[in-house]
Amino acid sequence: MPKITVNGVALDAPAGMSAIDAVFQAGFDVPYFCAHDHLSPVGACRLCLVEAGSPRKNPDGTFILGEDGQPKIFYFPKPVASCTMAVSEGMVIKTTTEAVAQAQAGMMEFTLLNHPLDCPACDKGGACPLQDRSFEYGAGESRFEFTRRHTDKHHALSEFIVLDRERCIHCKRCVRYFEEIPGQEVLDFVERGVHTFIGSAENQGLGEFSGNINDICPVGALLDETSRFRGRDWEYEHTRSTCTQCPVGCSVWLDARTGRLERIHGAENEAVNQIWLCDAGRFGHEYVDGDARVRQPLVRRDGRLEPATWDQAVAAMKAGLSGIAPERFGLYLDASLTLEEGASAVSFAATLGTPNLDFAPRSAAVVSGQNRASIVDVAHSDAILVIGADVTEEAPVLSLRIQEALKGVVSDLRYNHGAAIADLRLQERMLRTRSRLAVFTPVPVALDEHAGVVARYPWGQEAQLLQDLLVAKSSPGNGSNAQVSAAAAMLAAAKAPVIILGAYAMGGSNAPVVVAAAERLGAKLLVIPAGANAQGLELLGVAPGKNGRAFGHFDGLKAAFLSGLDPDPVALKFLDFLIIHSSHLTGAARAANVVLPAKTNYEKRGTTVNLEGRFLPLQAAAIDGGQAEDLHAALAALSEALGVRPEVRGLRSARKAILDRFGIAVETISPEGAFAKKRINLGPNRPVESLAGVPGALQVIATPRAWKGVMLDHSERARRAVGPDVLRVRETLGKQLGLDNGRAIRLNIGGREQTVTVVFDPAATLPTIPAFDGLAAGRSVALTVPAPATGGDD
Amino acid sequence: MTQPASGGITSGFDPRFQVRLYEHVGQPGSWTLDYALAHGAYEGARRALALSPDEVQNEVKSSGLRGRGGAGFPTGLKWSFMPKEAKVQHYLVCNGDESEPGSFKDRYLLEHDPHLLIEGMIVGCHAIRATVGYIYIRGEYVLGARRLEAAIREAGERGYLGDNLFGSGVNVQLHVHRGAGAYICGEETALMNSLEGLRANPRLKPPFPAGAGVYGLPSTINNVETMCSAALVARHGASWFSSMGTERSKGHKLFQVSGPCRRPGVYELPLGATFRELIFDWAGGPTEEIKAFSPGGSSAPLLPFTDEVLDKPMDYETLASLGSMLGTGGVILLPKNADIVNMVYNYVRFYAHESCGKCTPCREGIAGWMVRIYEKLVRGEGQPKDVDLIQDLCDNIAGKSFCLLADSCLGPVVSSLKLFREEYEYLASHHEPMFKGFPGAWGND
Repeated sequence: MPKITVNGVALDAPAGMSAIDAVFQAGFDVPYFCAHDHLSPVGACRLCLVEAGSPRKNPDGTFILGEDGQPKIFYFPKPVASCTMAVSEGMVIKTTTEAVAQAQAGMMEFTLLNHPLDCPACDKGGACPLQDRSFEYGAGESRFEFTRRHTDKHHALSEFIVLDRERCIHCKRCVRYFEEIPGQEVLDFVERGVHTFIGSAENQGLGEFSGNINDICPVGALLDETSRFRGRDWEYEHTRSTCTQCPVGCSVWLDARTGRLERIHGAENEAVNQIWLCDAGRFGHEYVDGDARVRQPLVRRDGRLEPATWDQAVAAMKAGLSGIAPERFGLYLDASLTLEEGASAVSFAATLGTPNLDFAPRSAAVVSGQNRASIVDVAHSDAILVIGADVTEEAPVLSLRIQEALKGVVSDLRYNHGAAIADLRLQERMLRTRSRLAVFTPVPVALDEHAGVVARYPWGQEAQLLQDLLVAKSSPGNGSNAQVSAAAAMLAAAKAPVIILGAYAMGGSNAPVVVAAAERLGAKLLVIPAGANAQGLELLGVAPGKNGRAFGHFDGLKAAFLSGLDPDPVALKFLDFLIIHSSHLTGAARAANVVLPAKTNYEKRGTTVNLEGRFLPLQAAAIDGGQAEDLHAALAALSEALGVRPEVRGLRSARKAILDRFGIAVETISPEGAFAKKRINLGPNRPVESLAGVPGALQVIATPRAWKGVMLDHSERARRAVGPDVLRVRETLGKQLGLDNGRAIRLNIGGREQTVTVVFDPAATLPTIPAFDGLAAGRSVALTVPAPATGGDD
Repeated sequence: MTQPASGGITSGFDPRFQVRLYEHVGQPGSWTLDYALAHGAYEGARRALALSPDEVQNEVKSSGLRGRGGAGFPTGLKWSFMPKEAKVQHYLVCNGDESEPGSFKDRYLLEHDPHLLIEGMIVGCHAIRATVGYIYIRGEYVLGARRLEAAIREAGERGYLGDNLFGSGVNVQLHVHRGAGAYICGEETALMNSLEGLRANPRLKPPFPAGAGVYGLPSTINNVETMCSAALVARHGASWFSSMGTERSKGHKLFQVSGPCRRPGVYELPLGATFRELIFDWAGGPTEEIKAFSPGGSSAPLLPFTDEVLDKPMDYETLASLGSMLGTGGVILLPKNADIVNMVYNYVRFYAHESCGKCTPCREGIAGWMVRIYEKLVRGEGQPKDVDLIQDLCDNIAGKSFCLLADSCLGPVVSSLKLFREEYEYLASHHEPMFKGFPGAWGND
């Protein structure tokens, strides 16, 4: 461990430490813009200048000594950029000298040379590293007397990101981010010299992880269009919470102002999302304040839903439910509801005495936790086998951690100041070891691009595939095909292999068989659940009791209370009385007798359990949801209507129930989350029954997608960004069905009408549609394709 | 000052000195294989391939050959940084992106003696255990690229390039890559990026090219003249090469003279020849009064055109001791009657135009600011404080940029300020230049 000195402070620096980290480790500061915790050091901004020197050695290996008998320090003739310099034994670094101050002030003057003075109108103002650093290190005045660079101030890089090219200081963070983190080369510098600007190729999308460039931009050049000009940073109420749009559970900052959720950006959680978010989780929040938001209870009177008070809703529920036996009443939850809400539901169902309790969507198996991989395990893994999962859509940020594993540099450097500012092991355009990743899916997925082994298998044949892999692993060369052999060899040679199972593998009722087969391969296992908190609710026991009805199987019921769920109209036809607890006026809400306004998860306190079993806290952002309430309050109203008094009636009592079950006091967990000490042993896996009720001519696979229907339905911007829903089919099959390429058609899916655009795709060996809300991803569904129009327009 | 080694050839007039690099320049058909073979081409390659790579490296080391691209790094030493075993693909890259104002020596090598370069590439590839060589040529050198491509084809067809060369078991494939016109591509790591199809920004060092160069694999980059000199070392031996030059600057070099003189052009001279010999004896002397000159291309700090300087030997050490550098050996004469600010503005404009934009001091300091102050001064709109500002900007830029491009720009700026500050101040306060003559009559008499 090299011994170094920073401004007279002696330090044992780990080998390979960058000088900038040594400076911060020693408790000093230098300005920097291009260096970034998670990106390769490039030394472009030249702000982190320090004076540095090292001793030199005589030919015999001893240090050359100075007059004082100490090793003589040979200083570099000029200040050096500390972010790209590794420390070495005996190095002396100075950051507080006049020369360093002069160099930093000079460089700051250059940095600000062409930067417009529009801070008062800039969204980044008040939270801007450039502002802070120029205040700390700049001279205060510029001697530049020429006109500043005038160029495009409102360049829309995408529907969500606006680039102000005048403000850009060319730190290259965004360019490096795309190449190094999601592995997409979509941005680069264009032109050169002082004319250099950031640009993308024409008609090039920025992918699923573009919003992160807003967070890492050190100036106000890259801005979030959903919140542009909506408020100054200090006007927002910042709430740190957990995203529940998918089971990764990324840490987020929810920024609200005057009761509106204006923007979401990434919060640091090294073990989960580092600092990254997917675009759906970041930009997909506009529905929260959409017009279709239910802000007060609605009660059906004379066949029409009319606004009502909560008291009137209680009265309506009391009237509607009177005389209905508890076992004829069902309670169903969306899989993203909090653990506390789940505890309330369990308690309510027990008190009422109904076995009809369930959540959706869910898969037939949750990993029991014998050999479960964590997200960090994935990032550290040397062999990742993805089976039946579209990771980029089901658990987007997990795919970034997979790519981290392919780079082979584990971001584990931790110093006094946090993650390494300049990790010298990272380089621009590092080679990714693709041979560490094998992807087996029934349909093409985005991760294919980064995998060394890519294979398609027949939908539903995961168990057979895993059996083949097991055979090939135990007797090399006996793979059923080259890809199976390669993947098996990869697993056999690996020190820390991980298998990831997702929607395609877990969708069927044979999921438990798949999980058991995967466990036999000897790798750690990570199952992507079907909903954000599906694992938590399953472990909590949100499940049908004896003879209880699972979600979607409402025959035999007379009434049901659905929170956050929007099932097919076909499934609802059995019910006489329907209570919908929903944040939006969904199809099911329109058919309900009583609609109770629900909080979105952004407005709740609570806990969610992510795919690795980590308990993560939700905090309520300052969003005005009208009279919206969480499930605790909604069930309290229902309890009042039914005259029951469940044991769990709110957050505190729910958390006591959670403590009893999991042994974890969720009110104490940090924003980064924690694992429960107690293992929950579930009973035998319960099956999943197919929801595809309506037989149709065309069997299609519902592909997972990160963008939820509610996000797309209530934000035109999101819909424009994502594009129309697409039915992908091979041309021959499409022609047989009378479909035209590019034509929008209306499909009947389980009794629900959906508009999709037909795309003839030679890669679509299986026809696919996106998994609309209520349609379980990874499953096969039967569609009725409308008869081709007769008669000839063109 | 470095004393010539006893017996070292340090003058083009020394009867022992023979023109070798440019021996065939200007001869009809010199670029064809038949011509080259008739004049001893590929004999050096044949000799080198009979030796082991380490022996070739040692031969070049003992010749004292130093890189002719500007930095003067010992070539054999550079080659010895490559891995001793070719476990992965090694690459030899030839830097033919000759873009420095005042430098035009490689052009005629490419156009008139491409087989000398190919021979040098074979020697270099063998020495560093590379089987693939790239020759990166600036886009404007159309004729050179065509002739080199034709020469590579011809050599390949007739067994002077390709697999199992001369029965030695050594394979060498050469590829010509044409640049698109950027000075920064002459910087070795930016060249590698450009070669890979990426934006030509310089890369971080370390890793150095010998560890991770082209496509992340071990690579060595040498200038065209260096490769040709290596071929000559292989042909004529290290002792022949080291018989020329001074104690630490061995061999011969191509010097270029431009500006107002009778015979501007390229002159092959042993290192250690004086500026006076180059400018007066070979280039025929100036056609008007000269006040200063760039001794080694546009990046080299200007030197005053005095008897004392003119009698200095042209070698790496002497130029360094004068506060300048030998660089590419491109001598640019600056006439007395032309305004120094205007002439340096021309230099600065070049660097501002060629700044790649990667790092702040170069992009903003040179391309965004410095050039505009010069423009303002030259237009007669300057103020005395602008002269101090230029000096201050130089201090803020010097040594702080990512690559050497910004420092290269400061070469003429800082030295002209030091030598001719009164011209700057005159222009800034009088709004007209001290010398009004414009160097328009340059050229042959």
